[in-house]
Amino acid sequence: MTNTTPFDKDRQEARDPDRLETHDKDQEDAHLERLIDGVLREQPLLRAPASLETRVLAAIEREASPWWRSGFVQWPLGARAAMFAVLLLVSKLTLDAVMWLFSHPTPVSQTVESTISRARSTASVFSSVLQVGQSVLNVIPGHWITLALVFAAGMYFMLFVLGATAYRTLYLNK
Amino acid sequence: MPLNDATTVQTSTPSQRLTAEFTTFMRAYQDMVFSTAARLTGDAAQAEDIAQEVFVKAWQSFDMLRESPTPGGWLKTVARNLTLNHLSRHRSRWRFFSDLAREASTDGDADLELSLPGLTTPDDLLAGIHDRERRELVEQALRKLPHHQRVPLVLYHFEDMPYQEIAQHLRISLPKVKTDILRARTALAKLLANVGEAREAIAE
Repeated sequence: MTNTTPFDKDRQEARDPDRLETHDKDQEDAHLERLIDGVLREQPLLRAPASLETRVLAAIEREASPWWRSGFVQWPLGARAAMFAVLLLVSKLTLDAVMWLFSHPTPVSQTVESTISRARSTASVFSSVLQVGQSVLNVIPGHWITLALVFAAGMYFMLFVLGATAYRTLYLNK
Repeated sequence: MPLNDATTVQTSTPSQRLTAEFTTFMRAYQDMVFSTAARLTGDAAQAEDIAQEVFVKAWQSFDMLRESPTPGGWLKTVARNLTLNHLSRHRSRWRFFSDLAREASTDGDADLELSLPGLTTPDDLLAGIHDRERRELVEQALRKLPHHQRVPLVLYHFEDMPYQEIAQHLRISLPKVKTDILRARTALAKLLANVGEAREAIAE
């Protein structure tokens, strides 16, 4: 067994450049770690936004309120299924009631029927007006319509420019 | 020990008193919870969402927390875990769009080389910059780091988590954790040194 002195160790390392390089790299990494740790540890806490407190209290209140006061999506699955079944039943009953009203003449069904016939006559008036309008449009040459549309767009643009000028002159320069 | 200089809320009924007590509690710790989430996510809006979730959980366990000698530790752990869960949930989404490109550009070995001559104290990195501005610059530099570097760096330096635990939490290998943290430190030092040099040049 041979005795090695620190001097021998240094000489050994000097002969082994890879080991020396690794040693230097480790030291540099440790130095970098200390440096960054120092920078980061000096950082104070970030200030929470002012809205956080209100949001948390609102969320707590929502949690405390009964489930039926929250949105349908948040309801328990059973409650949602029951609600769906009730809605189906109500729809079925409503449809049955309407069918029954029309199959058995009553004052109510007669009133409904007269209302529907009045609505139909109103709709026929509208459709006749539309037909007249359509026949007028067919008579007018196509380029006239194009010109009218261009004119309308021009007028709209002019109105926009006038509005902007008025705003700049009367409001901004006040 | 509360962290913030919290103001006490005065009220009368038991329910109001409990809410007021919780509000005081929240005011004491909200900066700490928000900071944990914000530094890990790098996004204030996401951090606020997470902080809200943390305090709703705190409300559910408030009976235990008000008796606990270390409610801050509980809050910090919950904030950290919720943030890490949030990040892992959204990882596939953001990773595809943002981090792949950045990983490719920052994972080269050349980026690991950083010359630090003369940089011996934190003051050397941002020489000549006032404390307040310096803090803001450090936060900005942290936000600029890619996610896969920022998260382990924050866990190591701010959350005092050892490498092994970080690797377990992030489900990545130990060597990757060490490399990512080393790269993050290098990138952060470069960013801060560049800012410091630029400021010095302007001052001259």
